[in-house]
Amino acid sequence: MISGHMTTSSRRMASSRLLNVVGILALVGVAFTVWLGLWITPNAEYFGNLVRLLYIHPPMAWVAFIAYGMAFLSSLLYLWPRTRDLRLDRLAGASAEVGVVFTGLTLATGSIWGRPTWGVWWTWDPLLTATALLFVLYLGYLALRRVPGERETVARRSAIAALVAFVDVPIVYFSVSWWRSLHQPPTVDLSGRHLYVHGSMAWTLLLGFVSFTLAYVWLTARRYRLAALSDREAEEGLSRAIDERRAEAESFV
Amino acid sequence: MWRDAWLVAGKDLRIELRSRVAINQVIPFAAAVVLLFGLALGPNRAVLEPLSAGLFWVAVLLSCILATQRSFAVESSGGARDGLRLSGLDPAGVFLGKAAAVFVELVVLEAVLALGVAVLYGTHLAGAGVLVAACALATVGLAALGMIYGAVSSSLRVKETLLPLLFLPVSAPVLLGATKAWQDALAGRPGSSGGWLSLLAVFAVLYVTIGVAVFEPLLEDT
Amino acid sequence: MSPYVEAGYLVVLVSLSSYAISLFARERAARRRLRPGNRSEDSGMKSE
Repeated sequence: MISGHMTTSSRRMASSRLLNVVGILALVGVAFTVWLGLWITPNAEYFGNLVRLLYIHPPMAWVAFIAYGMAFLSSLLYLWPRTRDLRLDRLAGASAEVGVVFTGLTLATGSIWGRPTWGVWWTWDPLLTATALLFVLYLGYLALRRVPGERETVARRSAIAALVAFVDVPIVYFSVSWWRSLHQPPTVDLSGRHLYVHGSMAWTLLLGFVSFTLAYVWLTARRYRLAALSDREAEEGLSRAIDERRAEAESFV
Repeated sequence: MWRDAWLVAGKDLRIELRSRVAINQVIPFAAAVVLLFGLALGPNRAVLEPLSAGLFWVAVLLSCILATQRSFAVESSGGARDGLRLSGLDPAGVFLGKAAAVFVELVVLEAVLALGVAVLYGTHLAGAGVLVAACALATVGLAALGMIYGAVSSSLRVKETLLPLLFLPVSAPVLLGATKAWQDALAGRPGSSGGWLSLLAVFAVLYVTIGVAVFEPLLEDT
Repeated sequence: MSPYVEAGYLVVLVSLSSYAISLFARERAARRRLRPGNRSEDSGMKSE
């Protein structure tokens, strides 16, 4: 399908505007989450002040998960011959990269939670352990993406690697939590899964989920645009190099 | 597909028998790893014995990386890869054949290694049925996973560093499941390892299926 | 307030904003390189 130049550019304009709106909403939402989380919400009976970390730690993990899910879906669609499109590959790469950032933040906030709670920076909590494994797993995926090669080849092998990685996610979670539950009962529940969340706390948590998800959408879209730009750059660089060689050859003739 | 798999597996195993890389390099490597664990953890058998299942499987995982790299090094020399692609063999068959060859090599390695662990760490190999079942199931999964990632990375210049990074995190459930099954068996309660064995089976089935499905595009472009 | 809570919020906010800023900077650099006028080295070569 070939759409006219005007419609493409105006559509790009509209999507740019939409993206800006998403970005501003994300910014405002995160600012409100921080404000509510740090100053407005009350201390919890059992967790005290630390409950405030609850408003950011689970949203990080949630965003990481949907980011990997998105990378998996677009990789799957890329491998399907009928929907093969480099845009899907860019989306997978962008989403996975943002996912790695959020996984790193999940680990950081979980660790910061653990230090005052149990006196150690790291407990072999099943969720934290599985998240750490996913972190290195997707670092490998990003490393594979960065290996240069022909554009379609890179896209195809990345898609396969994303497939292999994502299928592993439930197995990792399941096996790690089983591994921990068999030997000793889970020490203290991370992220207060048994915490009674009420009133302003519930709203703050919900706002945290929504605004960090918006931040994910915005970051992924920006990363996607960057990928599209560098693809175009590589293409133009190639055609320019061909032109130059051709000009050289002609000047000799 | 099955005939092609049989052909490729036979070819790979014949190459290994003649070149003896697996026997002369991979198995001694695994032995060195097991020895080094002993040095790192001290000569105390009371420390080593309860850890022997985990150490054994870490050694197997590391050796699996070497076996995988070897399996694709065989293809990349002298344009053998193109020969394989142009031979008209079914890619799924190629995948199954190469995975089967690595499986056989790893099983031999595991047998030698188990003996070494029993001698060096003083592990009493109880519950042989569970031990063998865990080995078989875990090795199918490892060989399949190794073949997929081996094919993904084999044509890259950074394959030596990239393959372990890709392979090890994904294989973590196998390490966990096989180690737990072994620990249960060694501790004299083979009955409680059933869950871990089924985890290993699920892993194996999943990655064999994925390998069969994606090996065609993988061979094509890399 | 517990310093751990503040540290947690700080880590999240600083990392996310520096990631966003790096994306912006890279995008701008890529756009500048792609701008059609920005081929001075080529035109210089050709005019010789």
